[in-house]
Amino acid sequence: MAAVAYRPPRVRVALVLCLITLAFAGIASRLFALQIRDHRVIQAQARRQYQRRIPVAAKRGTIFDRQGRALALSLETASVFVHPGLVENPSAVAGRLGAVLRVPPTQILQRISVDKPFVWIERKIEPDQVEAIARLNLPGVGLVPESKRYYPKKELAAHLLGFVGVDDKGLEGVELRNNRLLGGGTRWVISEVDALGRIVFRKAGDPDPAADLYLTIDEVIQHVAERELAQAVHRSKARAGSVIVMDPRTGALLALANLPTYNPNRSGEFPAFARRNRAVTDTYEPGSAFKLVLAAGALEDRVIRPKDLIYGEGGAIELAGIRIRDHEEHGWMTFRDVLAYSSNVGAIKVSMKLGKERFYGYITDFGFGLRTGIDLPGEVPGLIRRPMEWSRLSIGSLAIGQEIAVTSLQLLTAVAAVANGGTLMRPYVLQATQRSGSREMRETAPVPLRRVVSSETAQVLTAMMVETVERGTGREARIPGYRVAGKTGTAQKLDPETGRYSHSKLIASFVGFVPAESPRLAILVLIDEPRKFRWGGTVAAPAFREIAREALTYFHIPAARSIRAMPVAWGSRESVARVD
Amino acid sequence: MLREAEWRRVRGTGVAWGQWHTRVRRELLPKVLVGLVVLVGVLFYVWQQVQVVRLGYEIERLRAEQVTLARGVRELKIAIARLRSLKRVEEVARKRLGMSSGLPGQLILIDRSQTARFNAGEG
Repeated sequence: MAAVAYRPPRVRVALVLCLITLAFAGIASRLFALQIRDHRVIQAQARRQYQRRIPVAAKRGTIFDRQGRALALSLETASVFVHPGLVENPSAVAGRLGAVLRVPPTQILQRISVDKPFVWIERKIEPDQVEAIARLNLPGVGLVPESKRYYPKKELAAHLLGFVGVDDKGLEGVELRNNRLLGGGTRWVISEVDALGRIVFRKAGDPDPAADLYLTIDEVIQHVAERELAQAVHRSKARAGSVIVMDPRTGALLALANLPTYNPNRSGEFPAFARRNRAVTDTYEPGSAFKLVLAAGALEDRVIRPKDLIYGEGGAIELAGIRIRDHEEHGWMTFRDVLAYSSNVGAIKVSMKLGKERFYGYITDFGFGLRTGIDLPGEVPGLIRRPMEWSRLSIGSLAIGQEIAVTSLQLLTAVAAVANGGTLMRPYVLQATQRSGSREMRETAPVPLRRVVSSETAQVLTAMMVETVERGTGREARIPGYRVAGKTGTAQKLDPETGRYSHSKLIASFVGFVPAESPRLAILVLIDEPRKFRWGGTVAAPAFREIAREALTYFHIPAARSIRAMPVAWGSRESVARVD
Repeated sequence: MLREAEWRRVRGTGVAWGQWHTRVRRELLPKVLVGLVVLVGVLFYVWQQVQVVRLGYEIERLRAEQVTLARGVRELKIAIARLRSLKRVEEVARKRLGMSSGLPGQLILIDRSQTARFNAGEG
C-alpha cells in the first residue's frame, strides 16, 4: 500500500505562525521596554523594595592595661527613635514606651508631638528594654543598634582613659587620642530583605573590626597611686593633686592619677575641673625641685663639683633689690648640701656661675618649654622666657624654680633622664595595638629624644639626690633596704589678686626614682594648696614612699641589690673650690 | 497527542502502526530527553535558589544568635572586670576579711639571679 503524503492546511498554519510571531514581537517589545528602555527606573524601584540600609553597631575596641586587664569595653545596645508622622496614636505610643523606658509618658509625648521627621526618644537603653520595645512592634517607632562604653573600674585611670560621647566618639584622654583606631559608632550595611522586611542577604560585610589598645599603665600601680594620692590630699586638706609613675628606662607611664577625679561612666555629671588631666594640662612653678636641672647643668659643664664649698650668707641673699631667703641659716656648705638642704642662696650662686645662656640651654634640653610629645591630648608646653627677655632677677628665680611654668609630666621626664643615665625619653601610654580577631600585635617602641647630660654627670647627680633623701629634706621618702634618689619642692603660687607670691597657697612636690643604682621607677607626687603638712618633704615624700614601696614589691625588685654602695667619684679633698 | 491525531488521519492510508510508531519515537525521543534535561536543570536552579534563600535566613538567625551570645559574653566580662576592681577587692579584704598590708620587714624579696648563682655553687 502506497503512503499518502500529508498536506498541512497552509492558510491556517500561516495564520497561526503570524499570530505567534505577533505575540513574540509583543513580548520582545515589552521586554525591550522593561529591560533596556526603562531599565534604570525599574531597577531602582526594585532595589527600593528588596534592599534596605540596616544600621549596625560597630564595636569599639577594648582598652587594656599592660597585663591585659580590661579598663574600658563596649556592649551592644540600641537607641529608640520615632518618626512622628508615622505614629497613629501618639498618647498610646508614649504610654507604652514610657512604661518600658521608665520615663514619664508626658515627656515622650512632648517629643513625639513635634513637626520633625525624626526624633530620638532614648539613647543607649538597656538590653532588656531593647527586647521589650522590639516586641511592642509600634508603627513609627524604631531601634538603632548602638554601642555603649563601660568603664568597669569606674574612677581608675579616668583622666588617662578619658570618655566617649553619646555618639561613641572619644572626647578625652586615650579615647580621644585613639578615636579612629578604636572605631565604634553606627555603620550602615546594605541588605536584601523579603516582603516582611526580614534580612535574607547582606550585600556588604560587617564593619571593619576596630583595634584593641594595650596601655603601659599597670592597674595595680595605678590603684596604689590613686589611693596614696587620695590619702595625701585628704591628710593635708589640699585642693588637688597628681601622681605620675614612669619607667625611666623607656618613658612608659605606669600610672597617672589626678585628684579631684570623676567616673567616666557618668562623665557629664562632673565639672570640667574634675575631668581635667592636670598632670599634662596644668602648669606650675616647680620650686626647689627645679634645682635638679641647675645641678645637672652645673655638673655637666664642670662649673662646680659636689664637694665644692659655697657660702650660705647666713640664709639670705639680695638679688636685683629683692631679698631671697633660705628656710634655715647656712654658713659654708658643699654643693651636695645645697641640694640636700635645698638652699636657695647656694642654688642662686651656682646659677650665676653657670650663666644664663648655658642655664637656658640645659632648661630647654631637658624639655621645658616644649611638649613632651606624650600620646595624650591637651598637653601644654609650659612657659620659659628666652634669656634676652630675662630681668636681672630671672637667673636667680629660675635657679629656685620660679619664673618658669612646667607640667608635672615635664618635670618627671627630666628627672627620668637623670635616672636612666642622661637620655631624655619621650613619655608614652600606648604600649601596643591589636586588630580584633588578629593575633598580630603592633608594639610601640620607646623613643629616646636626646642625650641631655653624660652618664657620669647623671651618676653624680643621682648620688646627690640619694643624699637629699638620706639626710636632707626628703627623709620621709626613705624606704628601708632601698636607695632612693629624690628632691623635694615647695613653691609659692602667684596670687592673681595681688600679683605677688602667696604665703598661704603652695605647691608641695617630691620627684625621685628608685632603686637609685638601677632605677626602675620614677615617681612624681604633687599636692596643690595643702593646708596641713605644707612642705614637699612632709606631704609629698610620704606618698612617694608608699607608692614606691608597694611598686617595688609588686615588680619583685629585691632590696639586696639596692643596698650596694654606689660607685661615685666625689673628687679629692685637695681639689675643693670655694664659692663666696 | 498531536502524533496520535495524525495517526488517526493517516490510519487508512496503509502506513503500518509499527512503522509509524518507530518514526515518531525516533523523532520525539531526543526532544523529550532534551526537554527532561532542561526541566531537571530548571528544577535544580529553583531548588538552589530556594536553598540559598533558606540558608540566608539561617545565616541571619545564627548571626542574631551570635550577637546575643557575644553580648552575653561581654556583659560577663564587664561584670568580672567590675568585681576585680582593686578598690573593691581592697575594701573587701580590709573591711570584711580584716586583712592588712604587710609591714616593712615582713616581706623579704629574694634576688633570683643571686639565688641561682648560689645554688650553682658560684657564690
